[in-house]
Amino acid sequence: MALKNLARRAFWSLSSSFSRHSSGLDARIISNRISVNWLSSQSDKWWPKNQLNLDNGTSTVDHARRHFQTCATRLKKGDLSRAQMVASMPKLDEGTQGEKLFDVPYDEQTNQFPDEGTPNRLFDGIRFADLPICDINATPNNTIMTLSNSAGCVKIIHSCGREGFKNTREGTNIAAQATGITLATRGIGIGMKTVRVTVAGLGPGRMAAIKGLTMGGMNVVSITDKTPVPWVAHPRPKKRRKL
Amino acid sequence: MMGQHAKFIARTVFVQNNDIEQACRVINRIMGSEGWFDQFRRTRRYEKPYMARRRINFEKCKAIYNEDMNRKIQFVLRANRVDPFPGC
Repeated sequence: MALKNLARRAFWSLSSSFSRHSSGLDARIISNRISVNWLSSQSDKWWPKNQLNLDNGTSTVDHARRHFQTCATRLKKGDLSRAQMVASMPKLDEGTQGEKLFDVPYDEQTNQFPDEGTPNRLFDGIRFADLPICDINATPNNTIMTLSNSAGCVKIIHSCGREGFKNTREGTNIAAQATGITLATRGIGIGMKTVRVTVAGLGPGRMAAIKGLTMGGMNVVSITDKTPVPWVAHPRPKKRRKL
Repeated sequence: MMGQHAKFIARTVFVQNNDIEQACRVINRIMGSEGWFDQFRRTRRYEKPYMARRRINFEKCKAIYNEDMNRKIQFVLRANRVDPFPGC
């Protein structure tokens, strides 16, 4: 408030011609005034709702709101409304529910994990090593599922695109679930009722596809993770996206 | 890299009582806590050497801080009591 009054007084007290012998304070006020006029032309572009208000709201003069930062990049960083917008956007779904969960109970007595006798263990009368395999490739934009026999010979391929979803809708958990249901129905049709599942990738369809399989009537016996995790980035991936 | 591991033995969880949600959560928790997903996400886009150095230094500082904080917590939680569960 005091600063604004000082600026007003200085503006009206000085003549139109700028004197070389004016004090340093006046020179500063003149230069600020010039920059404020330029800022006023940009103010509707830049003024975020919750930046620091340098006037107390009682001003009748239509002047530009002055920002603390004059550099655009620094202004953007302090822009709380943009941060609020980003925070309010839906979270990216990578199908990794349980990744940060600490209270998942695990019973040590039941055989939850494989051991040396697993390949010969029977599930519905079939050896584990002879069970058909369902491979799920869950990418951010699509989910592709294949059913193959125990040798790895692929019998059925199905994906969200083939299911009828197109473009962005392929990369959703609903699409993956629908794909899983259809694949399960087709798999049961060719005689694959009990299956072991392999999952690769982090995408919305990672968990939803397996859920779809069980909803379609398939008996999922085990879940294996086959996500390729390179420890050396080779071939060199693309550069980061600038958001 | 994953192809080097024994197929269907490593990174495998059995589904119990047809509860696939639980099985998914178990495998995600184990892999997440071991750092597989973080490494996967890091390699989607190239991480420049200066960014890698920043991250590693940050992780080192965080590890030192956590170690000291945990020591402090254990120290503060000490109690001079008869062991309520002897032999466990």
